[in-house]
Amino acid sequence: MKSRDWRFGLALAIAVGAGAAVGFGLDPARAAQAHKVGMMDSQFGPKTVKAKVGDTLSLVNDDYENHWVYVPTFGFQISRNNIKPGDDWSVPLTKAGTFLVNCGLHSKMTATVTVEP
Amino acid sequence: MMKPILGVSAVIGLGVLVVGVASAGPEKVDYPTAYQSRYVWMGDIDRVDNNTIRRLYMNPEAYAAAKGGQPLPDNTVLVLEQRSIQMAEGKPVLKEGRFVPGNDVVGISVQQKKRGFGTEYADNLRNGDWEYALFDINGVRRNASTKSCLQCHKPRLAEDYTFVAWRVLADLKK
Repeated sequence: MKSRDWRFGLALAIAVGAGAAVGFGLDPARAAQAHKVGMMDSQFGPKTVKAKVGDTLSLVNDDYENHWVYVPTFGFQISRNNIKPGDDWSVPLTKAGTFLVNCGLHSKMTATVTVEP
Repeated sequence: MMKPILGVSAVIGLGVLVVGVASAGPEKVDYPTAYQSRYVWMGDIDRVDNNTIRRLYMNPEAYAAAKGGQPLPDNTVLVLEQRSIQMAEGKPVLKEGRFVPGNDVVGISVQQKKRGFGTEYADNLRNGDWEYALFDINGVRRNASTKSCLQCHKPRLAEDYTFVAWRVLADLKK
């Protein structure tokens, strides 16, 4: 094999490898993710979440009672009353920052979400 | 001479009763005139279960006192203004993932803390020195029960019976 052909082959292999990486979600431009936060025994789990802008927060009531989830942090404030057992609520994360998630019915039920740019 | 004395007593008694009724509960809370221009905006809460926005205000005197980390002072007034949102084809219009406020105010709820408020209520309902009142968009008092306000805020003792104001003020200390 001539040296020129060898270099061409290497370049082709790199290109194919990069394409495969994109296909398997290994692209540096990361795909959006859904971060599940469950509700059980009047607690959120996990209690801390790290996400990126474009991801979603998936709040799932795995408990045996209703929860009323709200965010009191300025600039992120949102609320949904009466999330019944089995229900879920998907919240798009459109802005960087850190906010608190509370339950209006169980004041000690809290989680913290950090959204990076 | 007994009849006039009884009559005076009855009038005095009735007066006490009338004053007692007039100053009970929500009637103690006055409508916060010009709150939209004078009060501090504490944020808009998108309420996704009924497609409304709850816009929250606090009187500037309380805000100034509490943002330094002090407890909410006597005569704190919180206004919760329920607003419509912009809709298109039956769905909320979103801007950067948030509701876009409409032009209509649907209702106004006021929560006021004042020394001596709340004495009418049983311990299992009383919210410390807080009282609640409901007004229509013209500032006219609504004759609706505020019991649900008291019940819902009751477990929030650690946050001085507030849901949002405590967090906004706490974040200002950082």
